[in-house]
Amino acid sequence: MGEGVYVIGVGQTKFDRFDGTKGRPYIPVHKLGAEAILKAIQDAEKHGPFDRTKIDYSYCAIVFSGYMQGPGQLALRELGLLGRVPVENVKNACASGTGAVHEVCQDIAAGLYDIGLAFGMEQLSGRRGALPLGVGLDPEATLGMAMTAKYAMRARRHMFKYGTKIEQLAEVVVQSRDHASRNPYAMLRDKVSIEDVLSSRMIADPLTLFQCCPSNDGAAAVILASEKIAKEFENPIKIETSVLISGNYPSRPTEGGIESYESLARLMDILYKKSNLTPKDISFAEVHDAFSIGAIIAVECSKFCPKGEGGKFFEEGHTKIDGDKPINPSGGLLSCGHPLGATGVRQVVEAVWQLRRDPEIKDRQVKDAEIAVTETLGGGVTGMDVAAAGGIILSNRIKW
Amino acid sequence: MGEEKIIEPLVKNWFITEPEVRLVGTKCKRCRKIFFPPTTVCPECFSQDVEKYLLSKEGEIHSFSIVRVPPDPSFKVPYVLAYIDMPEDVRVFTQLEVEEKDYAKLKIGLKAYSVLGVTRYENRDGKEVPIYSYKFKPIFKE
Repeated sequence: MGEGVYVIGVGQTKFDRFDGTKGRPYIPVHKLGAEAILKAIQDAEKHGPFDRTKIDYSYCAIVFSGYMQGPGQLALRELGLLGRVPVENVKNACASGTGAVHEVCQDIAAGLYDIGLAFGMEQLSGRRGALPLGVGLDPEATLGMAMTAKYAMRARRHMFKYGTKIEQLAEVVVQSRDHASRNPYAMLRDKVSIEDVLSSRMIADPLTLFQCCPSNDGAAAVILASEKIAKEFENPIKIETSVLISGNYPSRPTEGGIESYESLARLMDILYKKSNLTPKDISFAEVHDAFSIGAIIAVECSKFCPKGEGGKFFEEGHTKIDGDKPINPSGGLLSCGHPLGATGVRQVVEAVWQLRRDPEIKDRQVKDAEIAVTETLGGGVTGMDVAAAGGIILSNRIKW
Repeated sequence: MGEEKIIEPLVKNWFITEPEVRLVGTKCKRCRKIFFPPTTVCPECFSQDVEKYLLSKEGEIHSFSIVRVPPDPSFKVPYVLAYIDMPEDVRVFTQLEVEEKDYAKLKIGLKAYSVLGVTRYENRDGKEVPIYSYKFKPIFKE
């Protein structure tokens, strides 16, 4: 990385279904985006001399929703920023949000500009059931592939190969809900038991409903700056490194089974190498737990525990907020919900709050948090384990 | 009766039906690696000198899942998805041709062979039309 890159402002909306039914308000997606951006702006203003018109460039992550001819522009319009701040709309499946943050990091590191905005927003309420993957567009989707089934097949294979128990998969959800019960921005905040998880409706066996993240609405925003600017701010958080990769083609039986992700393992290796950090250095992680098994494979690919022991790692509680390697203190995708474009940005928002010891998260503060990693895995395209994988390492170890 | 079966256009070139249903992959004439789905450029050595290659009829179930919630209304649940590991060292994504009464007998490691079967139903002028593709049929040992 060239120039140092720092986060100087973050914000997010509540993640929920803002569809105007069941007493909930209807909020269109660009207004959610604007709300998150405004919060990030106000957060930056609180911490230093910030002027929103000095944002040089922005990226908006959005996948399934919004106005086709410029969703990000509609959000900026709400804030009077149109014509002042350029915006590029970014689409990379579930990794879009991480991608948007990564783009800004790359630009600032390259010295292209000093202040960048990354935001993600999505509105999936109104769509129920498994996400449509594109019948008639992608061959696998056309043959019936669903994200639920893809992860279900991973789960079955993991259970077959390593003896992972269904109760261990359920434990991931139990912990996720416990963390979310302390996060007012999360959608599913009621604590659940292993029995609750396993007795919920079967979606794609062995995955039951509670083991699948809900599709919902939400937005998150992050303002990043060069060292020169960040120095004038109180409590900036450093981007140690950010990486985006594409999935591999094809998958070969001799190269391993679907109980692991080649892409995520590769992503994490690059992140560790580029940042000169090791799995031991990581205080906590926000991982892509779109499904229970996702979190189990993620802790293995991140080398927080040996391959095959992810289930046990959760069962033993290492992954709880007061454990030695907290996973998803926010509640993760399983409980916050997963408005695709927003998720990767939301993870960074959580990481920044944690690393700053922000009062916002006092009920779920990871003790002595110094270094965090966030990661998302995007999409499924025929023949690949994922379409895109993105990861970011952040720290509060600032040396000017 | 005797009407022509509609084959899923996106995978039409991925298999043959005569004299039997077999998947068609790609073999690179330069590095000799085999790929499925078929490709026009070798992802290993970038050669465009590639040829069609008929995969074995039979492979082994790497994993599977019974889908209860469909990703699109054209799929009738439940249906079963699987990955099949082929002797040519490629992993194939497929629907399984299996009756609901046999679901309990499904397991990882079973052999399965390529067949033609219905994968979904399209609504055409108010009529439900079955769409066909390659599928794999598990072999249950007695």
